[in-house]
Amino acid sequence: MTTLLQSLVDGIGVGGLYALESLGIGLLFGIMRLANFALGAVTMAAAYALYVARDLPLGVAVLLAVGVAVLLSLLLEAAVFRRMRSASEAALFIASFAIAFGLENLALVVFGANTRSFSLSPWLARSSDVLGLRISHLSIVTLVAAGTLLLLFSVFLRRTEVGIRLRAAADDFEMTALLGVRAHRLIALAFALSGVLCAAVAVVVVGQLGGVSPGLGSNVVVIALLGAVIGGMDRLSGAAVGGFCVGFVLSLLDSVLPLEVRPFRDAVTVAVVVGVLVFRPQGLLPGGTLTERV
Amino acid sequence: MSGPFLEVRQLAVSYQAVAALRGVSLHAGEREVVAVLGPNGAGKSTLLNAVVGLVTPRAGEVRLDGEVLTGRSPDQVARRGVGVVPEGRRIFGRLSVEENLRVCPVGSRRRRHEQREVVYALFPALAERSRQLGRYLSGGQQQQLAIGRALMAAPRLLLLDEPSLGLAPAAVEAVFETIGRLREAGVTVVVVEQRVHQTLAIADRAYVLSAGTIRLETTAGGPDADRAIEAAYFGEAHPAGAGG
Repeated sequence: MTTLLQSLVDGIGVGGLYALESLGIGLLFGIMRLANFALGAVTMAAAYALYVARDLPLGVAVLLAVGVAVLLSLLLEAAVFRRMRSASEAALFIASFAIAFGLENLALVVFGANTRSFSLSPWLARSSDVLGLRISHLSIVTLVAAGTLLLLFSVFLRRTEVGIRLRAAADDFEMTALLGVRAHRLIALAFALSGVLCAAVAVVVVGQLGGVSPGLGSNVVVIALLGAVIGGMDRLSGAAVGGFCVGFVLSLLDSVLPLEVRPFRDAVTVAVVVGVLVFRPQGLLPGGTLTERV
Repeated sequence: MSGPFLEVRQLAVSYQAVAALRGVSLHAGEREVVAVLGPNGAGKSTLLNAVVGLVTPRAGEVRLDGEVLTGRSPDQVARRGVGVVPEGRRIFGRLSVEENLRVCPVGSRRRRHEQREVVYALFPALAERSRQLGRYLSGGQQQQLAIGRALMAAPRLLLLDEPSLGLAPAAVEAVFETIGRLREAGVTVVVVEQRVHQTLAIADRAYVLSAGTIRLETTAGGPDADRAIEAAYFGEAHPAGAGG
């Protein structure tokens, strides 16, 4: 019973984590049809920033990671994706894949293939009793951080005019431009926001793994892409919910599956995703299309 | 700067090898309601898309109040005072009515707030449904929202692309009545339509566009305007400028 509850807490935290990354994917896909695989590389870059800043206070290191992720995202937008505005979805996806591959190999050259082990904070590795449960501080931080960020983003997207414009652009980008919204700025903003989300994910993943390796980001982004796909890529809430579900299932499978099956955890997850896509190709959430009315 | 408020001069647009507009010229004076009539595929939507910067013309020029619009991006054109009600309305279905009206960033926050009240006064049905999602509105209400949304920037020129398409008869009448009221509010209107008679009833002048060229220009009130337009529709060449 206790372990089940513990797994649930972990699952909600991990689910929230992937929801953040999926939200970043949904943000960019909705606005410019870009399924940005390079978000993995941005996450990885933020993780290495944490590694480089490991001797600084945690708050400073996190700020640095956010800065690196945002700058890298903006740089990729200006250097690559701005020149591909009229490119097809497939071309955009392949370009993002190439960027991810290039940056990952750059990390390989600079930092080496081995995992660089370090601890964000010794406090994170300890546990506390919460309502009779022994829960690691990392689980609590993951849960609180993911929950807070999702809440902040949701308020931002619903309540502020810029947020409304981002949602409108995800619905019909060309139309927002016809209303006078500066397209370049809005896209740059979406990239910057996706960078913030990547940095948040990097902090938690580094905390969980206790280190960073070049493959850190692509592992995360593959799962987050699956989540965004089953949730409905071009809908921000859908992408986040999808990411949460996949992360939750993954985390739960980790503790529920028998030991000998556990290496095939990802295969089981992908099978679930395939199942969802077969029965609900439009995504998990209802009401995706605009109905024409007379 | 003298000259007409909106001036389209020798505009040519091609999609790959296919010419969609072959040197179209037209103009609209301030507070004028100008109709562009023509059958499907005549190039009416291409004309509007070229004016707002969605497609780049091969040749020709568009000026608003003397300022060249050609070559500017859609958001720049919008911020120079051109509002668009696009074909198919294209309201943001996942946004509420109020949010649809808040997308437009032109003008100060306070002015936009006032403009929203103006739109709600023009379309009380929208005010009643301000929190409803756009996709749950009726077709007529969606069209009101599309017009209201275009008015948020307080445009000097409003372009409407087949506003009556797919609407119930009562809603069509309401749309044409609205266009008439916009003129009173001081907006120059260019409306692209297939419905000849209803459009002529509200327009000051009309052009007939067919196969990418202007076939006819006429004052809408002229005695034989209807007949001349129908002739142009069915391909009998009339000299452009007749009756203008």
